[in-house]
Amino acid sequence: MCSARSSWLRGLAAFLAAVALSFPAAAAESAKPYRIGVLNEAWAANHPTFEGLRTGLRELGFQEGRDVTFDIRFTKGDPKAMPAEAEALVKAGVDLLFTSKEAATLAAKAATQKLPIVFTLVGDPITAGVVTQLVRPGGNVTGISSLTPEMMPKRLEVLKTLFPAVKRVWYIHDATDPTGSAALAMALVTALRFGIEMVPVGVTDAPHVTAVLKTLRRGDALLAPDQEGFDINVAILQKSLASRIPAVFPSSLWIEHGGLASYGPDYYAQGVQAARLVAKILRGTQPADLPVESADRFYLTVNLKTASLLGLTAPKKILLRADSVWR
Amino acid sequence: MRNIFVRSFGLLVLLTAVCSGAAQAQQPIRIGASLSQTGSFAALGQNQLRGYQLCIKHANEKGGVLGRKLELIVEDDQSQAPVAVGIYEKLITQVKVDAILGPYSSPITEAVANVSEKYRLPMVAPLASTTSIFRKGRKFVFMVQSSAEVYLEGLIDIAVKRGLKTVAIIGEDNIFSRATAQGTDELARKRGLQVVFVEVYGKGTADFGALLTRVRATNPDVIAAATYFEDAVAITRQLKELNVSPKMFGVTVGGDLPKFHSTLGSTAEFVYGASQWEAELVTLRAGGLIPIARLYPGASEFVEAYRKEYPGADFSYHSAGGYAGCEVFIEAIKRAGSVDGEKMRAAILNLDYHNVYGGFKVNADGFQVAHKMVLFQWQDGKKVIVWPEELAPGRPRYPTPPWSKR
Repeated sequence: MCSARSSWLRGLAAFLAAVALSFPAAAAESAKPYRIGVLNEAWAANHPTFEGLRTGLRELGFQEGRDVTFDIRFTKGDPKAMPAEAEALVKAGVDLLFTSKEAATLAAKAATQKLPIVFTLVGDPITAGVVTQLVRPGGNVTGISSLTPEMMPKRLEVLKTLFPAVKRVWYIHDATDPTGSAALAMALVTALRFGIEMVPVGVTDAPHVTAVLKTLRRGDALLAPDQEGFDINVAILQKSLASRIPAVFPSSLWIEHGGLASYGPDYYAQGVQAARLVAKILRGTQPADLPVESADRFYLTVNLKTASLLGLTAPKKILLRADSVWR
Repeated sequence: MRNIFVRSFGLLVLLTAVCSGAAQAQQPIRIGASLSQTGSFAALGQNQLRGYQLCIKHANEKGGVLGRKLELIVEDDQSQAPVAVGIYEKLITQVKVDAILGPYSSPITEAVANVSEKYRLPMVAPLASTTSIFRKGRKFVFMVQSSAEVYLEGLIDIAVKRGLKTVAIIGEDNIFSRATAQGTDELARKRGLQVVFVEVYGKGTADFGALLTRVRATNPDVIAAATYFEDAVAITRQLKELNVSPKMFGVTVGGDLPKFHSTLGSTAEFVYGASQWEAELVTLRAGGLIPIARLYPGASEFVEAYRKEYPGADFSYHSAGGYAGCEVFIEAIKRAGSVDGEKMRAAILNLDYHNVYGGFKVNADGFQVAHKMVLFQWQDGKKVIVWPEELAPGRPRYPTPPWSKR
């Protein structure tokens, strides 16, 4: 009897614990929702990682308005505007910072050593100086790594498969972002194996990007960087389509809008993934105890309409491997 | 002496022949159209007309088409379909225009499409959105914008995503508004919303008191109104007067005009409106990252030129639609290499491209299959695009506060 009662009590305790865990701490402890500061370089409030975060949090039981609210800052491609925006969010009294890309994450880190920061789309968190180690990041920062350097050989391989005659590949990247250099190192090794000449150019502003792109000629190709600063990828997309220069991008987002091919994480999915980290922190886990995660999945996307425009034929082997094909 | 005379006469004949040939080559392509410049469609018809005029001006500045200037001959149909029918008959048979462009509105297009069909003259109808016009086996009428049935797709989508349950649909008794009401009804049911009220009202209705009282009795979460400008204003005003305050309220045509807000002031705040096109589209980025301006080639230049040409004039998607319809018309002449009706028709059916208005491609019925709608909400006196989500720079202000707090 005693044993049965004890078992029942244990069951009740487990049930209550489960109920408590299934609700956000905010809802359980206070009617006041958590305020999440969102910071990125987009031109509008609907950056895909943020949309993913909203969805992810909703799926985890956080209702917008009741449990969480969002204070969204975006700098329209200007990394230099990041520090002021990060400080403004901290001053505004947000409870957590959710960042995308290196500039936003580093600005957030500089703005606060106390508030939790969850980052997304950081290509190489150690090289970028975001964390010192991945398993136990320590401090107030954790997030999702895009594994950008590791992606470079694969992107180059995709380019070579779609454009076998390629001899020269331009890699125009934001010189102020160390991830670009780390990625380049990986690309150079692969380029050597494929007999491709890499032309790396570190740029420091948007006019520089335009000037470099003007020097490309037919037969060249482009590897778009995993960076948003100076609108590099927009310029690359436009150049690729206007001058028929094949380009491979870091995310399928670009392929939906005319890019030839991409290999890399999905921005929205990374936001959903990061929502799990955000939820854990809101429920009491310290960011220092949450390992930096790699993006869950990497997607190969090919746009056959663009391939045709560029005079390329996508081999069957790449189409069979592609997660998504735009026709 | 005689020799000189003969030589001179010969030269004169030659010169006359050359001059006459040049005049022939430079004879303009005359384009006829009927547009509402008075009556209930006047505001929107004039916007469309300015689009036509600017397009013709731009084409002529570039040397015209096929080496000929374009000349637009327009008459006012007083927003009446029978008047418009008479105008097109006259333009084609008496004035003997080379080609025609469409009028404003679905009801008028429905009527005049029979005229273009009779004379086998292609009619690009930029501001006709009703599907049924293009489901009658006609061969010479071509749609430019999205169909009436999907005008309020964004309103329904947002309502569903906000967990709303019921919708009331009202609309003017005309071909376009009926199609919008029916399409909205179908979209709502498909998405699991309960349609609690559907009713049409007569053209020219000014007092919506009884209708809105019946709507209020059903307590809908959403009111979707298939309107033109004047009824859109009257319904919005009377919703406030009667204190009918749904969680979302959207109109179709007219709500997009700047004067909708200038007429109603703060009463226009929070109202949703459907639009085929907005000048702001060219500045938008998909996902906040990728500019979509390339889907609207020439739109930035069009906006700049329109504001310069018509300072202070009303500017809405109807102007852009007019411009784009004229662009399609010119492109068809270029590709056909003539103004021959059959050749132009074949050229239009083969077009698959983007212009200032976005995508253009029609099926064999002339029905538009490439163009996309947007939904905006009036926020602080500005139209903020809130749907489709992947393009929207803004978010809906929701929930809608009571009238007393707007």
